[in-house]
Amino acid sequence: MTKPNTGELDPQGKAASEIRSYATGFVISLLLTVGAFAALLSDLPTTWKIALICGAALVQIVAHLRNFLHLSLADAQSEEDLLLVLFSVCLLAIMAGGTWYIMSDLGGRMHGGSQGEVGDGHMEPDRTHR
Amino acid sequence: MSGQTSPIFGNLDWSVTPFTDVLQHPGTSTIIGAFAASVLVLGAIAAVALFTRMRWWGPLYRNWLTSPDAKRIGIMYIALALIMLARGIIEGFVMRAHQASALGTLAQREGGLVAPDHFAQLFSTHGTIMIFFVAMPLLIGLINFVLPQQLGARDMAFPVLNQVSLGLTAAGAALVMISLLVGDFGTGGWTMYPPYTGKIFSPGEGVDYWLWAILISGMGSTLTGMNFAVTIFKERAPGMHFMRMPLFCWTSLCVAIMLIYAMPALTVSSAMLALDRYADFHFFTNEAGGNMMNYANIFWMFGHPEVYILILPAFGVFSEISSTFSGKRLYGYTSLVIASMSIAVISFTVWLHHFFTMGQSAAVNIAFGIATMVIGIPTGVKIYDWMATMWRGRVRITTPIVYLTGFFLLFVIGGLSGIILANPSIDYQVHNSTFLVAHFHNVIIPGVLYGMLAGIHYWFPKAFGFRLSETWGRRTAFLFVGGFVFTFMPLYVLGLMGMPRRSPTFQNPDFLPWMYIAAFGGVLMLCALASLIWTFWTSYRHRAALAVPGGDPWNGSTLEWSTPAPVPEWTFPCIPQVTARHEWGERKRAGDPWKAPAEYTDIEMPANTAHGLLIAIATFAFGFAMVWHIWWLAILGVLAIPGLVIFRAMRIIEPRIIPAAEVAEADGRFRQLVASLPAATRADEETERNRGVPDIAEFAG
Repeated sequence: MTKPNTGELDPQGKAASEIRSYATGFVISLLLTVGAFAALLSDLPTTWKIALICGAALVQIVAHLRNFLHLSLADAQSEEDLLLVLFSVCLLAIMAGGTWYIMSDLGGRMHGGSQGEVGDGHMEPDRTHR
Repeated sequence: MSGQTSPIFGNLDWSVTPFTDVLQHPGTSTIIGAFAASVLVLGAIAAVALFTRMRWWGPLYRNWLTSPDAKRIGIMYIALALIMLARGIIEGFVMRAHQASALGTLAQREGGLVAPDHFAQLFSTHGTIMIFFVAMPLLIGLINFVLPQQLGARDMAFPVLNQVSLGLTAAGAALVMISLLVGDFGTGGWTMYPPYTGKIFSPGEGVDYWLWAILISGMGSTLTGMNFAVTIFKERAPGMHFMRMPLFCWTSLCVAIMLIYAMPALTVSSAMLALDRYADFHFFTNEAGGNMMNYANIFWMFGHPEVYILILPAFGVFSEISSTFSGKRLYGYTSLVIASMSIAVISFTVWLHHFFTMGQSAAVNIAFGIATMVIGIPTGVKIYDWMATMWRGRVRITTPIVYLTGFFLLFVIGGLSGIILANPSIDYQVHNSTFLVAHFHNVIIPGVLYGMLAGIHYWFPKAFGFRLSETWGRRTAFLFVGGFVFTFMPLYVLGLMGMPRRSPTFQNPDFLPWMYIAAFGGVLMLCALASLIWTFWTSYRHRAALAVPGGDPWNGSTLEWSTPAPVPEWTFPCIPQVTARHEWGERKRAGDPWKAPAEYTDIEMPANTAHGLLIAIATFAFGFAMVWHIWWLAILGVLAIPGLVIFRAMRIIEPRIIPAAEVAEADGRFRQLVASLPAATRADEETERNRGVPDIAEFAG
C-alpha cells in the first residue's frame, strides 16, 4: 500500500547502466559544446558558424533528453514521452516562430528593410508616444 | 551610494536607509518611506519577541520550516502571501491617497503625498508584490494543500524539492521586503522595460532588487510546476483516471504545464537584462546592436500565460464551490476540462496584445488580436457552466458563494473590457491609460483574489480543524467587492478621459471627483484587509464552537473531505481505491462512507530536513550580495547552493516510518468520533451543530 516517495534507485540492477547513460550524455554534451566554441573561433564564414552552432545546440538538446531525462520512444512510456515531445515542440515553435514573425516585422519597419511590410503611412508609431 | 565599491560591504553604507533620507530631506514622501521601514523593523522585532515569549521557535523549526509535508508547505505559502498582500494593499492605498492629492497647478506642477520617484517605486513594488509574491504563493499554496488530497496521494512527488521551491519564493519575497529598509526599489514598473531599466538610465540598486527577486522566485515557480505535473501524472490513487479527477486538479495540471513552459521565458529575459547591467552586454541597450523590443517580446511570452496561471486555479476553486454549496453535481465537467486545457494552450499565442503599440504592422497586431478574442470563448463556456451548476440548486449563501457572485458580476465586466482592448485600433486609444489599469485589476481582483480567498475559506477547516466565521467572512467578501467597485470603476472613466497610468500628477481638475471616489474605494480595501485579519482572529478565538472534527463540514463530494479535520500528516490511513468521478459522493450514496479500511500498513513519510531552509538562506544571501555588489558573499552564496545539493545527495536519508498500529489507533478514534457526532443538516451548516459530519441523506452532488 505504501511506497517510498524519496525516489531511490535500485542499487544493484540499474545503477551501472544508468551511470553509463549519464557518462555518454556528458561526453556528447562536452564534445558538442567544445565544437560550438571551436566553430566560433575558426575561420569559417559567419553563416556557417551560426549553422554549426545551432546544429550543435539541437543535437545537444536531443542528447540531454535521451541520456539525462530518460526520454525514450521505445519502451512502456513511449506514448507519454512522444506526447510530451510533440507538445513541447509545438509550444517552442509558437514562441520561436512568433518571435521571428514579430521581430522581423519590427526590424523591417525600423530600418526600412525588406523583410516586413513598411508602414501604411498614416500611423507612425513613434508619434503616438508623447 | 557613491564613490568606491568597498571589498567588504560592496555599495552598502549608512546613507541607504529611509531614515537617513528623512533627516536629509524632511517631507511627507520621506516620512512615509521612513514610516514604512519602521513598520517593517518594528513588525520584525514584535514577531521575534512574540515567538521568543511563547517559545514557538522550536515548534516553528521542527513542525514547519523543516517539514516536507505538502500541506504544511502550502499553508506556509499562503501565510507568506497574506503578509505580502497586506503590504500590497497598503501600497495601493497610499497610491490612491497620493493621486487624490496630486492635482498640479501651473505654478506648482507636482504635488501630493509622495515624491514622483517614490510614487514610481510604489507602483513598481505593488505590481511585483501582487503578481509574484501574493497571487503566485496563494495559488501555489492552495494547490499544494489541496491537490494531493484530491488525488488520493499522500504527498507531492518531490517533497524536498517542494520545500526548496518555497524557500526560493520566500527568498525573493524577502529581497523585495528588505528593499523597503535598505536602498531603493526599481522605478520601471513591474515589467521593468529596458532601456530605462538598463545601467545607463537606472544605475542604482533598484532594478537589481527586482531582477534577483524575480530570478530566484521564478526558479522556485518552475520547480513547483514540475512537481505538480509529476504528482498529477504519477501519484494519482489507483482508479483515479484523468477524467475522474476533480476540476481543481485539472486546472492545477494546466497551471503546472504553463509554469513549466512560461517561467523560463521570464528567467531568460531577466537574465539577459542582468547580463546587460552586470556584464556590459548589449541585449537591450540603445547602442551596439541592442534591441529593447525583444525584451517586451520575451517578457510577455511569459507574462500572458502568467495571467492564466493566476486565474485558472481560481476557476478550479469556483468549480468546486459552485457544486458543493448548491448541492448539485458540477454541470458540464467535460466542457470545463476542455475549456481549461484550451485556455492553457491558447494563452501561449496571444502575448503580443501587451505591446500592440510598439510599432509592428497592422497584420501582426490583428493576428494576435483575433487570438486574444478567441480565448474569451472557453472562459465564457466556464461562466455558463458555473451558472448552470447553481441553477435550481439549493444554494447556501456562504462566504465562498458571496465571492463567486461577486466574481460573476465583476469578472464578466473585466473580461469584456479585455475583449475591447483586444481590438488593436481601440488599444491605440486607451493603452497606457488608467482604463488598462482598471481592466487588469478587474480580472485579477474578482478572479484571482476572490477565488483564492473563497478557496481559503472553503478548505480552512481541513487545515486547522475549525471553520472561519461566516459572519465576518461575508463582511470581508462584501468589503472586497465594494472596495473593488469604488476603487477601479472610476479608473475606467478616468482612462477614457485621458488620464495616463503611472502618472504621479495631473493638471485636469475634472479628474479630481473620480480620484476621490477611487480613494474612498482604497479606504474600503483597507477595511477589507482589516476585516480579513479579524476573520482569522475571531475564528481562532471561537475555535471550539467552530470546530468540525468530522472533517466534512460542507457535505462535499471529493476525496479530501473523507479525512479528519485537521487532516493528519499521512492524509489517508490507506490509499483509497477510486471507482467514480465524485468518489466521496458516490460512497455517500452507497451508504456508510466512513467505513474503516480492512487493514492498515506502515506508512513511509519523507523525513524532516533543513535542506530547503538552508538553500533559501544561501539564495537570499546571494541575491542581496549581487544587489549591493558584495562579491565575496555572492560567490559564497552561489557556491553554497550546489554544495548543499551535493551534500544531501551524498547522505543516505531514511524515510520516517509511521507504524501501522499508530495509524490504526488514530483512524479508529476518528471513526468512533464520526459515529458519535450528530449529523448536521444543510440548514445547520453555519451553526454550532455543524461538527463536520453532514447528513448524507441530503447529499445530491
